Amino acid sequence: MASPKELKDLTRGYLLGMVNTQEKDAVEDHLFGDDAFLVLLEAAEEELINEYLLNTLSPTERAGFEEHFLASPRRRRSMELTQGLMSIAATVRRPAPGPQRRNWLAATFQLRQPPDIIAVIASIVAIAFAGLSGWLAIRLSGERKAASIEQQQAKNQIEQLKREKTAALRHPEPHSLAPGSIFSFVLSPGLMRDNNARLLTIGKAARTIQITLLTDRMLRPGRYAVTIRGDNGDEIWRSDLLTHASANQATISIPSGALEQGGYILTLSKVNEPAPAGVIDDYSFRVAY
Amino acid sequence: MSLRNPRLWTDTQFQALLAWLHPDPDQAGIAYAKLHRRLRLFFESWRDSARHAEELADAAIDRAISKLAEDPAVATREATAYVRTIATYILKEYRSQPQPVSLAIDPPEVCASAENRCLEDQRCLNRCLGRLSSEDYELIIGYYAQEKPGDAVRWRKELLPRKFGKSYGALRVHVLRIRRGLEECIENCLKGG
Repeated sequence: MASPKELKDLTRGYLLGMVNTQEKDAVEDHLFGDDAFLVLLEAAEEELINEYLLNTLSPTERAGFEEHFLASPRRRRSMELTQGLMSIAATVRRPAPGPQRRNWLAATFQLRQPPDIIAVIASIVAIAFAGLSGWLAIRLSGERKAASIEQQQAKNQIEQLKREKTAALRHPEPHSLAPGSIFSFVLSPGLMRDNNARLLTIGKAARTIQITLLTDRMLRPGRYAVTIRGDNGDEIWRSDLLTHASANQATISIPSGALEQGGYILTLSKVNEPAPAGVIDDYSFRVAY
Repeated sequence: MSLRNPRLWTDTQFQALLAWLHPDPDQAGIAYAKLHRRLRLFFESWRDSARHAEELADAAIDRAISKLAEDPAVATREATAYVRTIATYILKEYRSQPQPVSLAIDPPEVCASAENRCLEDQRCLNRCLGRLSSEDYELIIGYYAQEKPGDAVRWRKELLPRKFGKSYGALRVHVLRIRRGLEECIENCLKGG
């Protein structure tokens, strides 16, 4: 009986047309006799496509992929799908710009020290911090003051965002996006009639819509959900994968295909708390393309 | 997966095939879909028959229905193994017919944005992605995200499963299921659906 690694190699060889008749029969015995193997083979197809697109196949495998694997129209379409998904994923998960700050501590330990010296230094640092934390514990009352300052800063940030929003409403600009871009906007709470609801003009090439929701209430740690309803009240999208950005705002990302032209009401609520107590805020907006 | 040609078979004959594949009607549909996937992979394993793998898979199933209709005793045999034998005969018959000269397969190019077909594909992909649940959307986009090629393996095998609370194997099966749904949705979209 073939080991898992042997079976995996055999599977790849089968898909790339690099097996003999006996090996082929062995693979097909599994293919027609084992449901789990069917899934394994299909997963191996997807893996080969990824490796081909990432240019990590060996030259021999690459030749087998282009000359044998892609003889099937279905596999070519599958590869096109993967290309499309990679392209979208690349725009959604763009790396953060800007130079990375080097931490002085990390820089110290990047010097070539033998492991035992590093362990001694780490122990000394740990002891020093233990002493420091005791001293810090005495200063808890000062931290309460710091927290209230932070809250004030968050409120100032909200006011600033509201001012920016007001300015944007006065001078709406059509948003032109490079293909594959993320379209971001900020919503303040409140339900308005259609004509006064925030209008979002989204470029046709936008893949993802990122919404930052400002809240009047403080967001405590926990899980939150967003529901979007259309004009007729039907729920058209729901997510409870919310990024809790700070005490008074939260951010979600939704695929642009989820929102057709029209008016929407978005409700932010706390998961596992029924309405009305669980509802944080409602927001209205309109979408145009 | 292409649909059965309603002109060739009666509903009774097709139901007989499903019952042969599995006694439970719900499971029979799943078994039928798996059989079709197996047959397609079988015909795709040969370079010459790969380009017509879908049609040959259909032909194998058509012949199985025909055999079952002619002789109900066929149903006493193991369905998948029987259909595999049929597929082997169909492959031999296919090869015995004169085939067009096999042209070299051009290496695929990245879909240039200027091509209308590519724009349509992207439009349909975007629309179909919009119909996914938020969790499926996050998963499929997350699965194909990587900063550098070397990160992809670690991202998929360790970090992504941890994020979604699934094993790597379960995650991969889920991704394949989402892909199948997307492929079907895109096909319908391109046909104007």
